[in-house]
Amino acid sequence: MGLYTGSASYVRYKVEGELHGSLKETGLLRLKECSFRELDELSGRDRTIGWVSVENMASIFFDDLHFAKDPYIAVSLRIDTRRIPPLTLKAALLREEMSYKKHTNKERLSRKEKDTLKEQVKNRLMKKALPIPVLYDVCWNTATGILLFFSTNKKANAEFMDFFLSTFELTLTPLFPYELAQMVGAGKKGKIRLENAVSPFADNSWSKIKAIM
Amino acid sequence: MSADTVKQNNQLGRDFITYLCYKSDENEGLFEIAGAKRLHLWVGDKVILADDNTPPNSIIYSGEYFTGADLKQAIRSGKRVSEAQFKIETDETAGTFMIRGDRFDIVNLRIHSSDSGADDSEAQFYSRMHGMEQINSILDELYYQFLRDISGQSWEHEGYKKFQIWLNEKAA
Repeated sequence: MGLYTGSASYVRYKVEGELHGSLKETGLLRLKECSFRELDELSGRDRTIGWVSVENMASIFFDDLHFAKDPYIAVSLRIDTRRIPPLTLKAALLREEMSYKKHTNKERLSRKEKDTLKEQVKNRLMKKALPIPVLYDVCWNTATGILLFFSTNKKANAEFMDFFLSTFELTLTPLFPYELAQMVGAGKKGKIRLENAVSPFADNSWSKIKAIM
Repeated sequence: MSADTVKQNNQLGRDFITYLCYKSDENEGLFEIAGAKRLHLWVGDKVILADDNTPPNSIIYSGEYFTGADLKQAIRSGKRVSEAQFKIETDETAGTFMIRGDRFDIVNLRIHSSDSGADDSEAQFYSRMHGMEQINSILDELYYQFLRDISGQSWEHEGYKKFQIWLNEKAA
């Protein structure tokens, strides 16, 4: 979060390459193709990921081009997940096993029976579990090729990179220290020789300080 | 040191933040960047330092009651700043943010620009993006200065010596 309100936490990326065709038309097409779909529409799945409006997380309407804020493209990535708390599953499974044993007059269940019961219980509970949505804002400056992803969570960033690639067919380079060094050096046209960038504060021991003094 | 080693060690980020803390203290917060632009950058209310051991020995200073002497003592013991909060002020904008050395994550950036209270959501968007890009651009400029300093031939004889004098001077 943080594109519109509150404090902002983000990771910077360099978008490698450009969208083919008109930014608005191609952007719209790709966003619509990979827009968010509710879990209820996707039977048998416990997770869904897709683009939603940055102004309304329930909206996947992009036709008015509100995502294109020249020179930016601003959207949100929504990921919904259904989860069953482990103890809830355990309790329901034990209850189901007891009931099964009673009905079949068995004292012990085979591995296969246990697995089948577990799958049935899991499916039943999954239908009852409410999806938990997570939302990440994304802002791409198409003039500079720099993109901000508004989360510093490593897993979320990895998932975002993959989904961005599958949507726009463009790769992202995270601007970590080494990559940023290359970028700022190239921007200044005076290439910095990173191999000369010795660790400047590598030895701050008192013996060295005294030797220098 | 090869470029691959620099990349693998991933220490440039920590060195940069340590450098910012040093330069900020030495220049009383004043920095000059390209185009003769001046800005103020001060260490804020939280600093985390760590050494290179596995797992690292780290120390956290937070709140109002740590001093430059505390930071220097930790640096003298072989630690470098792994993340720090900074307060920044330019003619156009002011704000606070945390920066993490390992990945250059920007955390809890708060911008206080003159039009940050815009009512219209579109205006608010452009105002915030302008503020964020301005701060990113300043950090890039300072990062370039740092890289130029430490990769130049004069670092070992002049820059490092000045740094050590600073480290020793105010500790007395």
